[in-house]
Amino acid sequence: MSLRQCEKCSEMVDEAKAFCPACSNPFVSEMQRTETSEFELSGSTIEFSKTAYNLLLSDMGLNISEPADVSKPPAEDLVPEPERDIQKQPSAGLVKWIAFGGAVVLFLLLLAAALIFFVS
Amino acid sequence: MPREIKNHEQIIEAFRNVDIVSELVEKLPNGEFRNELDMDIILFGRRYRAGKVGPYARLLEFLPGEIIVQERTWESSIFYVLVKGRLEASITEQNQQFKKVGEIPEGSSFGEMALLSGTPRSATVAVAAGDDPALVLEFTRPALRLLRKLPEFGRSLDRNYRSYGLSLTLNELKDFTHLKLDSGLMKRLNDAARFAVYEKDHVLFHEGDPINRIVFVRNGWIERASGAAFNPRAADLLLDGEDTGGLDFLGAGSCLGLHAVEKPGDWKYTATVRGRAEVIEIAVSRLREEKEMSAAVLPILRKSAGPDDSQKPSPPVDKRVLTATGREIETGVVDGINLLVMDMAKCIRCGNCSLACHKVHGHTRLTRRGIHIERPVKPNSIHIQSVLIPSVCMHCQDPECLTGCPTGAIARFPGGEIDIEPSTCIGCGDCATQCPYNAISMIPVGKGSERTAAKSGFAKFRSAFSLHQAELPAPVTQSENLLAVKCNLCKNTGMNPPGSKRAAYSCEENCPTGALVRVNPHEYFDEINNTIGLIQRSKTHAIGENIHKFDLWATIWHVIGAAMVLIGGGLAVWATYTFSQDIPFGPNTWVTMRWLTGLTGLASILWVMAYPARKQIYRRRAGALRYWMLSHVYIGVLAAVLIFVHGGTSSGGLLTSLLMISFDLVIASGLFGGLCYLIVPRLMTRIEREPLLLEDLQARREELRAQLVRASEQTNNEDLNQVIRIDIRRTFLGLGYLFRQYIRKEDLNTMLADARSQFRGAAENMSRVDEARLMEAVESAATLRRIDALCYLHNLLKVWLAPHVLFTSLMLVLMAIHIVQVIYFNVR
Repeated sequence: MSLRQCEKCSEMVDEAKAFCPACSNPFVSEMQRTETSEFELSGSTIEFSKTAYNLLLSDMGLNISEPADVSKPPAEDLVPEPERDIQKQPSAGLVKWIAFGGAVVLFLLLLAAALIFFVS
Repeated sequence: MPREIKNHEQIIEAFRNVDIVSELVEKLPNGEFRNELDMDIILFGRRYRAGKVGPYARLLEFLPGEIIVQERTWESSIFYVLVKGRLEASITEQNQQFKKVGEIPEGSSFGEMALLSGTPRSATVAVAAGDDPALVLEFTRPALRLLRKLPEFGRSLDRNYRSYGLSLTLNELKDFTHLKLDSGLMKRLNDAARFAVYEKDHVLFHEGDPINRIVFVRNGWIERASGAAFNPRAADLLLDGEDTGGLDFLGAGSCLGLHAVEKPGDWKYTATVRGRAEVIEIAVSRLREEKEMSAAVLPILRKSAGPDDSQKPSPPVDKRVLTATGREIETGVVDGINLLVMDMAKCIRCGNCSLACHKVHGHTRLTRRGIHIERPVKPNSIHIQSVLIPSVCMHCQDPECLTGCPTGAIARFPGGEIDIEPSTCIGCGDCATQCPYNAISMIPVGKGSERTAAKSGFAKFRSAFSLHQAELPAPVTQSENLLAVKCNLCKNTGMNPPGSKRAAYSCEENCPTGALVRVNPHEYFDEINNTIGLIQRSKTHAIGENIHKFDLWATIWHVIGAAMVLIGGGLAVWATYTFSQDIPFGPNTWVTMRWLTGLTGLASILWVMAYPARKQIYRRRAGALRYWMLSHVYIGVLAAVLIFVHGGTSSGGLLTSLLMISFDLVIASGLFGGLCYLIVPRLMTRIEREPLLLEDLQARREELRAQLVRASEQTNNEDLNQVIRIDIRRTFLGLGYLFRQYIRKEDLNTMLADARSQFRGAAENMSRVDEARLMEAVESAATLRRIDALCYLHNLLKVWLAPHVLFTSLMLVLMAIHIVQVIYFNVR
């Protein structure tokens, strides 16, 4: 078994290893990125994309991509549209239970009526 | 049982003979120990004011054949170092045969993998049979904190953890896929790979980076996002936006970057670690160079689950599912091995779960506040399940509460539960501070009876019917002698007596509607189950049954109950019509339909009355209360039909008339209560969204009322005062606005925006300060009505019970007199 010295931790390790068992340093050659990303250009700062930035601004009622339309009333004066969210619809489970409860009550009423009719 | 060696010299000598821990007992040239304090605590323990801390190590002698570590047990608060002897590691294969997988060299540590990763023991370690006894140093978890300061031990622990982790995962992969891989190829694969642990928010790779390593996720959660290469954390924002782009989550067992072995390429997305993750990284260049190895290994990796990641992640089918998945991962609830969940549409807010916990443990460990998740039952479904994960221990896979305990009192026990040993807990509160879910409470020792004033019998009776909040005990202070308590899955209680096959939890057993259940989150949340690779699905978890998806016994009760009511009731009516009510069935018998219906009705009532009796049994198993509740309802309805038939059309004398009226009132109040239980929780959940306790609502109501009074008192503007005192009250505090809450069930923000717009005109001529005051008053009044609506619903769930119980009591007394009367006249 031939050994080599890890450049990072100076440990003597088996040459067959692709990574140093002591410090995980890679011994195999790895390709590096050639194109620089928008994020890397800005160093360690956090940069939001135009979309995400606009999203933040629009949450505050602002939008820098378009000039403000002064002819429109403020957002709060608009009558809120009913939500199209499908969560809003009554759940089928509830309907099922109401139907079941109704059937039971109806059954009891019918039973009482039948009793009065036949037994008397 | 191993023999413990307590001789100090022998213990110090054993430490001296093991390289990785010998630094602990190293001496300075002046003869003193270099790490005297740590050594003292680890080896012999120290007594402080609060109690004894340590020792954290024991020197044990195991006999040949004796087992030290048992495979697949959850106990993971101990690790070992072999001082002298020969230890063999073996695993159980799928055909239940033992297979030796290696030997532990002298001076090496073992058992730390389960301790650090929170997984069950992966192998059995025993002393080689026919050999000499083995000397082993046993360490409890707190020793790690001190031993890691020793450079040699720290290096060794790190290296062993990665080495074991790598070998273990590769072996698991091989075994799971049933593919052949000889030891030579395994060695080469081991050489080409590394084991790495990443913390939350670590970026594994960015979109566009060349693929140099295949990533196999052993443990943890990965978020894949495309189009967010600039900042992976901005992926959270994408969820809220209109355009979600490519975003999804992957769990353990997924393998990324496989396509790059055949054709070099770039990552199509950015992968970020969401929660602590353990991964295996295999050098792609090695797989390309060694064709024989890649031909053997790639089928294994492909067989493990995972999406095709040669393309960008596709936009979600249902964004709500993705949001729910993100929240389940982000909050960490998916990493609980035994999670308590409450389906809020079924929860009738009775508090019986907390009471049951209190009855079993002497103090409740269950608070109905916690993490709330809204999730579609399946993609694009209209059914939204509102799940509350209360602040109760979920027995995390990687528990933070264990890290700081100075005595090792809190630990994971063989059943998988994390529990606190009261005899060693010194009440320091470290575990309670560390727990991110607020699931550990500090209670004063031995002062329970002093903190709650004793109640007289009448006061107890009154409080049973009261809608007011019970008086809370005085808050705990640091000066008291404290003890940490938490959920221990009702282990060592009457709920789980020795030899019981099924685990039972007092909270779950005593929930009358089945709203509360303990589950394995990986299986309970379908969206999470879909992210987990196949290899991880075979893992053992300490779990309950998911009755929210399908409850077999409840279904059986519904079918039998409905059949009983329809067939039994129908039969009684038909027989009464056919045979008449008071004509005996034959010449030599006294049995009539009135007798038959009376006796079966009485039997049904006796069964129905068993429910309140069962409700008083908290400390031992007596069948899940939810099934008793179903039987109470169905047999109660059957009893109603039978007694109606029994009574017939003639009301009889005063006693039977009163009895019939009281019986009608019991049935009517019971049916009303049943309907309340069905409708109110669902309605309440739709209105409140985030589950709220009645006491929180009441406290907020008082605050808002005070705010409204202040708003009108603080202003000098007579117009504003007029608007607040008259217009706002008339608009929001009337019946109309109350009913609007129940009918529209709108989101609070939408409702407030609408409320503000109603008073925008009145604010036009006011100063900015007055306008702000007006809007604040508007919001307070509208919110107050929302809270009123919720409080009334809470009360509705309770208010029917008092008349139901009173009418039942009256009915039982009258029924007893009626029975005595009937027996007396028949005997005479």
